[in-house]
Amino acid sequence: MTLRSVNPYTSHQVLLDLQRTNSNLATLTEQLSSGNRLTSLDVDPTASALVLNFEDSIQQNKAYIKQADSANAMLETTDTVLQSVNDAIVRLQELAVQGTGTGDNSAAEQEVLSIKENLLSLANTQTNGKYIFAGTQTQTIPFTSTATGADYGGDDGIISLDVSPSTSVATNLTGDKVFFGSGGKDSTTDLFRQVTDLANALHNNASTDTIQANLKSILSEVNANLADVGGREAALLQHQDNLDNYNTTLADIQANYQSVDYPTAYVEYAQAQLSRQASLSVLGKTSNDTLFNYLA
Amino acid sequence: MPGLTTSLNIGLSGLQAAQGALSITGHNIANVNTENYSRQRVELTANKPQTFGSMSFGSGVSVANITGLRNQYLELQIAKTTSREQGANVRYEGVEGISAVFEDDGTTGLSTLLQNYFEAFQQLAASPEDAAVRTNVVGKAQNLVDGLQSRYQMLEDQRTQADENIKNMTEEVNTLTSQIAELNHRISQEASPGADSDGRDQRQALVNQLAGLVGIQVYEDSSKCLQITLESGTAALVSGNHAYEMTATPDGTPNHFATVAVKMGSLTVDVTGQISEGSLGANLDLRDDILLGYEDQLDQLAAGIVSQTNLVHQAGYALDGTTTDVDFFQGALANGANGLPTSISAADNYHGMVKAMTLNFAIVTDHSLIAASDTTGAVGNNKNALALAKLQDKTDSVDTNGDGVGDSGPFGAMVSGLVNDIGTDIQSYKINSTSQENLLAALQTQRDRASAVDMDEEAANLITYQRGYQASAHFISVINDLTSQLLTQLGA
Repeated sequence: MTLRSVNPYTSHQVLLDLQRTNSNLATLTEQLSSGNRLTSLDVDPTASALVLNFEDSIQQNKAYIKQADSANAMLETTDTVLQSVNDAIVRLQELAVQGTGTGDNSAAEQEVLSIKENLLSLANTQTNGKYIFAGTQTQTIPFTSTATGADYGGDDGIISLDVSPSTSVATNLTGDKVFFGSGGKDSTTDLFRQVTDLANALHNNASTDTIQANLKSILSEVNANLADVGGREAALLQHQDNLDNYNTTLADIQANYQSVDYPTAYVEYAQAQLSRQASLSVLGKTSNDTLFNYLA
Repeated sequence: MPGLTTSLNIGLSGLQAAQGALSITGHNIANVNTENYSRQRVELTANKPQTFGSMSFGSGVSVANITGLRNQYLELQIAKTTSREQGANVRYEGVEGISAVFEDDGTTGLSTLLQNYFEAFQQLAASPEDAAVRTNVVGKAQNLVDGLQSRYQMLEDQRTQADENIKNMTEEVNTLTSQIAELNHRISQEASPGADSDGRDQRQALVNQLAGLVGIQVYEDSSKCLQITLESGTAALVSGNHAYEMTATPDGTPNHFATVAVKMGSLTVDVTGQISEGSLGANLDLRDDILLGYEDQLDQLAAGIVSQTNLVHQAGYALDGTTTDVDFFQGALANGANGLPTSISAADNYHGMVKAMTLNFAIVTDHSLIAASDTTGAVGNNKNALALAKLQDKTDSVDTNGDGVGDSGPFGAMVSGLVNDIGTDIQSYKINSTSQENLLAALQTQRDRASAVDMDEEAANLITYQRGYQASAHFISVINDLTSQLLTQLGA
């Protein structure tokens, strides 16, 4: 049987196919020129949503890395201050040993008093506008000098920052713990008290044996605090490294969903172009061919 | 035995028939590009013979009828498919139009704004006493509010546009139905069945246009009139030579969206929810369902953010260490126990939340009111800021089913869920539109096989009828010769 078939130039199907080839070409051009496979949401809705989720995770990790940076900045300052405190105690120990049983100790006494001032300013260190040894009273000067040592105006609040959804890190050591030690204010582990006592002992040519022993235990506590802070810093660096690596992996997966596979896209492009040229050429040949052309 | 005059008449009938057929061929050729034109064919029939004794002599030819070649079943299928194709297409375009603002370019997308908002609280946790950090929190929160509101406004604008379209399209429907009713009248008066082929073509073209606007059911009654009802059958649009008027009346809601109704005599039938296909149906669907659904999701998301943030924020303490129970969003007076304005109801899917969303003005003017601390008198305490930042990962933070209880993933998942919904919708409308388009093309090709003008065919017909005319003319000339010879011989 013969199907009555009208001029192909007016055939809806052929026109539709041509339009589709054109729109396909447009999409491929956009993908190839942008390198982005997901030129609009409907190309692959699931991938679009996944890419968003990955982007969320990546950004969140970046935010956690920044938080870790903030925590690290606090801890590094604390670390530096504790190093200085450590050095000061070592010097105090030397002065205490030298001062035992000798005559004129006024020079040593002066040095001890200036070390006390120095320790006070270390204890009142500020970074980013906050006192790091004041607990959560970050706007209050934590230590003020007194005749027998120093008073603490801060509290025992620990300031933590979240560095992952489930991990947080303490960014501070409270001043009373660092400078008054385990025994608390006016105890044998109170650094300011011991410094003041040392100055008094030197002034009075009294024995510094007890003070030497006390300074030794204070030094070991300071070293323990240093180790604590150093440990937290190391853990944070490790954690940041992990987050960085994790982000690289996430970005790789994200790129799998998002990036154009150039060879495939290019082959598709070439095919679409070929099919467009073929249809146009066929249409061009058949469209001006009717019986009328052959009638005289 | 017929005489020479009879023979002359036979020749004349041949001339007339050929000329009639040529004129129809010309009509076909002239209408080769007329949309929906059905080719016409001349039906020739031999005239009643004259009987002489036992013999019958033919008496020439006459044009019995001129018929249009059409397949009514296909025409109706085309109308129906046009409805569906238009419906899917308009839905596709409507959703595609708003999709760009939900694509995330990593700087202004909703999920980026959310991320920035929570990151601002993290930074606040790192430096609760820092005024600049507090300003940043307010700024990022404002960006989030603006981002939600601009997207919501975009959806509103699109809905308003759909409403405009609906109003204009009802006018078009009325024009079309009254024209169809007129043609119904004309065709019912035709001299013989199918005689008014051009009228039918015009009517069918109008029906196709109407089907492009609304989903309809069409059938031809015994008087050759098309009876047209909505596809749902709830209202008639054309009956015989009468068209029923479709109206679009703004309703009493704040948006003043139009209610679509059909006036049937004294009865007015509300058909707003009854038109499913065609571009009018698609615009109604966009306005009342699809875009509204996206708006609901944004409202729910905003309600989640406002409620969760407010509840945590209320528990914290401001920088002065004493002020507490302050809302972050809206104003404390307006808010209920769930931290939301009392005018926003869960049962109504928190409708209006995005529009109403605003930062607490007290916090905007005094950033120190942001509650970073969870206890009195501790400026460096950051626990409440941490709790606010942690809301980012909290599940069940958004109520998506209107029961007042959170039932979602984290906020970020809500955003990617919305993006996925929009993308999937576009994709499915696109696929639907493509397949309807294919079906329509196939149906039109089928229709063309039966009805379209083929130039080759017409060229062949032209020669046939031309030759027929020439032969008849020659026959008349022969008869003429015979007559004149007879007259000469008889010496007249």
